[in-house]
Amino acid sequence: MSELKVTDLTVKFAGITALDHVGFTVEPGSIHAIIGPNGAGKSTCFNVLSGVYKATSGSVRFGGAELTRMPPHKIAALGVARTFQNIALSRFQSVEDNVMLGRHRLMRAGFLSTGLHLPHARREDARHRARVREIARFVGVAEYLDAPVGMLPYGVQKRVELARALAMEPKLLLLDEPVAGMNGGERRAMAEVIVAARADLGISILLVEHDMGMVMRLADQVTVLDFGRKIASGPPAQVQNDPEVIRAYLGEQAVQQQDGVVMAKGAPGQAQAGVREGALPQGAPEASGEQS
Amino acid sequence: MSSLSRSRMSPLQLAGLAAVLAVMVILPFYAEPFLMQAGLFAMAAAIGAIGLNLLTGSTGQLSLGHAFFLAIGAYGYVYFAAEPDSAHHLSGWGLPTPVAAVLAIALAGVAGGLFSPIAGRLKGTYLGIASLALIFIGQHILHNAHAVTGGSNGREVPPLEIFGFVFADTPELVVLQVPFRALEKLWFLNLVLLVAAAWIARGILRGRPGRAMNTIRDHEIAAGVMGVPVARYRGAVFVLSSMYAGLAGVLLALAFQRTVPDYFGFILSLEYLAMIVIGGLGTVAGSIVGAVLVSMLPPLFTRYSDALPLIAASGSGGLDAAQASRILYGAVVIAVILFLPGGLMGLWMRLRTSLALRRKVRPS
Amino acid sequence: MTTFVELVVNGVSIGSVYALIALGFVIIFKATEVVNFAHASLLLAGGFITAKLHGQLGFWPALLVGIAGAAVLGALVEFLVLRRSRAGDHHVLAIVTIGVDILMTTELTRQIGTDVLAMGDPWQSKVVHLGGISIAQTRIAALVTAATLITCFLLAFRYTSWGIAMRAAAEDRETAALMGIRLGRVSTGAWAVAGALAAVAALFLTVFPTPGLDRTTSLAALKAFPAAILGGLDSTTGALVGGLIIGLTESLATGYQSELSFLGRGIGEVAPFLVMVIILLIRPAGLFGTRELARV
Repeated sequence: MSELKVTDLTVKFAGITALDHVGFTVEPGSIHAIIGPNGAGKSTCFNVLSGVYKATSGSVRFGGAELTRMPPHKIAALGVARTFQNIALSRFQSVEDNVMLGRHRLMRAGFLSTGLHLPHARREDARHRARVREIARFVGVAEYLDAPVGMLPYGVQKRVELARALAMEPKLLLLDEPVAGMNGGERRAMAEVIVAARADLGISILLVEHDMGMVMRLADQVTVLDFGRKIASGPPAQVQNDPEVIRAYLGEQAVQQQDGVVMAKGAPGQAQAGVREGALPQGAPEASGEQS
Repeated sequence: MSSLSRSRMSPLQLAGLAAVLAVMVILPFYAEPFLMQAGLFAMAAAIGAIGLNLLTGSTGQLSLGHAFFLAIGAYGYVYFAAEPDSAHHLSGWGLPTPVAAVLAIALAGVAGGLFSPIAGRLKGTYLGIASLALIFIGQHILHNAHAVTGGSNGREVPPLEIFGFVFADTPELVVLQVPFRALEKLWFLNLVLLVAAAWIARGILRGRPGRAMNTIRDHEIAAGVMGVPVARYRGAVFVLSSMYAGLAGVLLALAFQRTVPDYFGFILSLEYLAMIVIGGLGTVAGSIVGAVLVSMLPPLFTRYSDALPLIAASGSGGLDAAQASRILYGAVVIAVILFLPGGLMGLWMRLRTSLALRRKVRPS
Repeated sequence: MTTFVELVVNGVSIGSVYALIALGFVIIFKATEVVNFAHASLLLAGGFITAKLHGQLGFWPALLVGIAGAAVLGALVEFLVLRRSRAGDHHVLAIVTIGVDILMTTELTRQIGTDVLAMGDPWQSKVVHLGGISIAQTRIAALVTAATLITCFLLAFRYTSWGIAMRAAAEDRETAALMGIRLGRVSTGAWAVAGALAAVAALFLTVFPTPGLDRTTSLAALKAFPAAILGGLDSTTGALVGGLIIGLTESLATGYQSELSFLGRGIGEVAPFLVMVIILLIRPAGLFGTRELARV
């Protein structure tokens, strides 16, 4: 498992400097959050990491490769998966087919073998569908597998996106505001899945989020961006008290009210909404001191 | 555009398919030549429509150049199969006709491949208009390359001959006391090829390539990020679609028995677009339904022009059959997009789901 | 040498006519995000009206009616067909315009039949001799008219409230609507303007030295599509440059046809499309088009 090392990343377009010499490192198997006010450059950063935007200068290294010079599908081949801030699912296809797309790079059937209905293509399809159903259960969307995605509620669609990203069996997972627009119960469920994914699959997770409670609870490391520049970096507790960070946020961010969320390190497939009691994940501060 | 039909066909669907096939097999024994001819065109058009639907309906790549690849199929077959004719200054390779047909399809695929760097890089409507260039380049070549294409007069099409079985009026074949001439023989050839073409397309759409194609249509960036090499796929689908068009072109040539350049113009491309829109974008069945509807209209109008009030004979200043059918399907395209975005197959799917829901709700 | 200069002048003249058509096309695209495949039939409609009426009304009134007719037709298409569409997706709307094109072209070519209609213009086949080169009066009229109209429109875009509304709607429809811009009016206006420009272009495409308006006129108008595309679908500058490039290519290729005879007869018709393909290979969004930066 390798680290993601972002060095001196700069992105300029249309006269704006969206990212200004940003650097951070995601340690293997850790959860790293990027936070910052709106317009700070968080999504731009993700788009560079997944190859959608071109960096003006700087470097992103993962698995021994330089990502800034690679097209999106080659980055995906390295094991980098992502979800999108505005849902990027294929509206007319079913949930199952959307998640199956995540298996694309793991499968080999092409035009010839599928066109001729060759048995090995059909067997491969069946194998991967079984795995997709497992992942759907893990994420909690198993009951919607046949439905066209466009018809489902927003919260379900976001989980389908997560399932699709997990279906890639990634080494690094980029989550762009995974709980935006969700209510409290949905957020808890999503957070449980994210933690379980890291625990069971050992993936590194890079997370953009506005929900401070969730960030403080989940993240091992936090990087704070403001106007495209990194203004703070470190463990959540340290960042929370950093005067620069407080200045950037003061008066700007409408902070979400959080119930005390207590998380358990549960087994996969138990990503159900609801408060559970049990051990806290390591490194997270106490639930009670959360209101910011 | 839904991929809900990913499971095996239901018993009802299979029964329906069997019934249609049975009708198609029995028809040649009873139908008159005009209907047979129209049916041949319809089946060839259906193959072409399936190809275009893979490109435009399933992958979201608008192409106005489909007529170009149909022309390559038709003219390619003639050129590869014909013997050189020095009297008319026509050249040809004189290959066995099945080989010529396969080569023509391959040539169409190669042409699609040559265009695919453009197809891979251009977005949406830029691609649509760029593909216009193919029509004009095609027309230019067809009218000018006399030795190959016969120029503006076109060329005669050598009849297909497979292992001594000739798809022409002679030698005459009698099946179940019905004389089988060229039309009847070609009918079964077209039917078999259409079923095969549909089967292949369905397999592709339901498998890994189909999912990638649909995602390229619905959200190209997500497709790339999920590991689909988008430009390569778009190019590949272009080649596939061109090969379908090539096969359709060969069959059209065999049905017409003469290739004429003016047929393969802009209007023909628009006709194929109309077929897939009316039938249902992104579905194989829709391509077939749309193709049958659009290609059967002109012959039907011609045949029954006496009975239909609006339609007059060609050239008399009134509305002739070809024009009437074009106006009709032009209007239907508009109506379908405005009111029935999924085309006829979309309507059919909605009926099916509402029937299924009603069955579930009703207490047994 | 004189031939070359004549060809260039003719090329610029015919290019300015293509620029008119392309400009209308781009206006529609910028205002409504729809690629109008029915543009050629709008053009044919405008020209047809002028051709039919000049006998009774005289040339200039007939021309005005033709322009108004095409404008109204364009506005009708927008109002009746496109606005009704529930499909917000503009790729799908483009197919609607294809349906409209099939309808209009079929009906118009049926009306025209095999006739070749004269336009009744005042310049007829008169030729002007300037410094050793001969230019048809119609060509000069075309150039002057097109240049004037284009300048007027570019000025209107910059300085009138309609122009600002159009540009705002093209940039960001939602914000424009929130700022009080009536998007419906902008759309209808754009289509009407495009129709009017097309009708003017129809005139100059069918006067001397062409034999007149016949059923192939709309095919000639199709050459404006490459003009709009190679300039960039959303760039008015691109439409102008594209039109000139296409006009020059066609004029030079047709003029030097005898030297280029190995490429086949009628190379002048195909050359514009070849140029378009080459330019698109180098710049996939056209010369001046904006390369899309998607929001994800």
